[in-house]
Amino acid sequence: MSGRIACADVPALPLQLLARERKGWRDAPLVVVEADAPEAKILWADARARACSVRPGMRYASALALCRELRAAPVAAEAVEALRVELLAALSARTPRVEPDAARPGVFWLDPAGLVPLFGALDAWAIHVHDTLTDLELTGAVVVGFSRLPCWAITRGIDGVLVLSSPEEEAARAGRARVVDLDLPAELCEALLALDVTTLAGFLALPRGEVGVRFGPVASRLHAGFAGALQVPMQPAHLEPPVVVEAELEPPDDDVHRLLFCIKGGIHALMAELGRRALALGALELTLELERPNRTPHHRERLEPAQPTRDALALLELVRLRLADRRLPARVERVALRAEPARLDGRQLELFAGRRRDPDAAARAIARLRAAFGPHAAARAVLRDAWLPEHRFAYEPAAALEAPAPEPREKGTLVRRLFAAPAPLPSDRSGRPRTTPPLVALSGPYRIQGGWWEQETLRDYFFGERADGALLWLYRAPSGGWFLHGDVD
Amino acid sequence: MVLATGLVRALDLPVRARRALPPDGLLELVRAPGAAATTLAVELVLESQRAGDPAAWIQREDGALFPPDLAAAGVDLEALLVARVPASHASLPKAAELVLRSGAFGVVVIDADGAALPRGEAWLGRLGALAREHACRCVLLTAPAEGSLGPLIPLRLAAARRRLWPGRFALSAEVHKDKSGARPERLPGPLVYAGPPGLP
Repeated sequence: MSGRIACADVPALPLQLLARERKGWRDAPLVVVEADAPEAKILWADARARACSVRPGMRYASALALCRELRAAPVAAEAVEALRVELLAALSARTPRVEPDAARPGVFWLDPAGLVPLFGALDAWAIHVHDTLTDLELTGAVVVGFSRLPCWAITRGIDGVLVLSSPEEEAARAGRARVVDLDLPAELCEALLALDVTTLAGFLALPRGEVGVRFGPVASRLHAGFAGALQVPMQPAHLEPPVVVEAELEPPDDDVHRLLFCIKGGIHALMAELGRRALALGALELTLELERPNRTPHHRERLEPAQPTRDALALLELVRLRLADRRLPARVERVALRAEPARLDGRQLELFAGRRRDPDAAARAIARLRAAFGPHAAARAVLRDAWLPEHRFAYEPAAALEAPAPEPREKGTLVRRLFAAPAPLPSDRSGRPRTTPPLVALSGPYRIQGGWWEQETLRDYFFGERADGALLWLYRAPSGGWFLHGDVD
Repeated sequence: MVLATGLVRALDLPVRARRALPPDGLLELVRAPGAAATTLAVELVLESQRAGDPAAWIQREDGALFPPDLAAAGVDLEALLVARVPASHASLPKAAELVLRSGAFGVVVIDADGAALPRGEAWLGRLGALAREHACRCVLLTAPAEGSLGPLIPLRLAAARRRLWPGRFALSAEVHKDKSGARPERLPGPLVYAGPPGLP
């Protein structure tokens, strides 16, 4: 069976990721937007949204005017990458040689060589591969053929599994693929359609040299790839198997200090194994199996050091911080430590770095905060383009800090404090807010309006000066009610 | 005691503050009505960032920090760690200890206004020792009703705010307690500040 290659294609991966995460939106038209804002561009649109004339490239607000039931959310690049890693790990269980496509996020190349004796036939193996996608709540197609891009072109036109019997069949089926389904560069796709070239066969009928001259080297490479003229050898991804250490506790115990002593031994064993493989620890998953499995079978914690490490004591400190405030519902019978291997960061020492303080120390402090209080405890504020005060910023988890570069300012600025929940204030007969001590001056209103695309919010903001000198930041709702939203401090 | 040293340009603050306030250790800023403790804490963050040191702001999960005003004041938000911890009585000191122990920060602000703090002074002793060891200022923002946090606080002050003319304000330091050895006559004097947009 040499010369065979398989293609597993999960089209519109960010859209499928969104559908998987938001199960309540299963029956609604769905789009992925570049940001959570009304003017954000639509990046991906599903079939229901397309049926309502919603297209990628539109603004969300415009799309909403076309389809009131439209559901939208941004999908982070990190989440897509995490799903790719998940897919890679799952597909690696079907064949040891899996290569993620560098340019197409949902495409994986698989080598079926040597698997027929195990599965009986290539069809059976391909069905197993397809089941892997289904198990991950993803839809896609699997084609077993002879060349990369022709295989992928065929996946674009089918659902499920197809095993091709000959290179001729592959070429014939691939030739029927529509150019609009092949994710070609927009300029090339438009030019081909203008030339009335609608299928891959039509594209391949063009002389390659002319394509290169007219549309550039990218188009020429795509032409050669779809023609099967580029036979790139398989470059399978190398997945490091996790390192696991387990220990039985006899008798079961729930004392954190004694548990830590047991975990310490396990961490040293993990580090020794990682060292033997010339690797470091990227994350640690700690599982405590409890004595009464019918209630809570196990307690699981995940810890991530500031950077891949082989420092057992630093890791033990993170475990100590995480377990310090935990109340275990039962005694622990078994401890399992699972290390996620990572490559050691081989940075060069900086002799003239110019920073007084060690930036890695800040990263270690962040790792400790996350271990002690959870992954969202260490954050960085980011500003948002919005009108409502509470929407003008957000907190994002921080892993490291940049070298500070404060902006020079001509004058100082008084800083406001914003209360998490606006406090209602009573009002007097004239409709002015009542406070203790009373307000001596009230300036405003400054009208702020926002969220019209979801649930419109309208507020009239005022600054109120109290008799004791406090400067309050308050607003009046359309209902006439007053709320204290912050103060100037 | 009110110590006013005359009107100076706001850009002078870092130099004056460096001369005036102790370079490390604990500093308690009282959030009194008519004061500007948060503004002064932000100035200390700016001063640290201008010296090339990152800063940390520790508050409860529902803390009142308003980052748009920090950015307007010139703070580099990318180099400001915001620790948001649960509202239990030991969370803020514990987070501060973890941050201070790293030695990576030039200033650590603990926004303790309305937050439950542990009884006793052992935690203050630890924070003060760590701050001195790592040449870091540890600033505690507290409410006046809570009173002083204890004898281990070497310097307790309020930044009184007064209006110079519409839209412009000056700050002066009201020293409540000074055991730090810093010369109080050189504390930051009145400075010109603009209010947020719309504040007369």
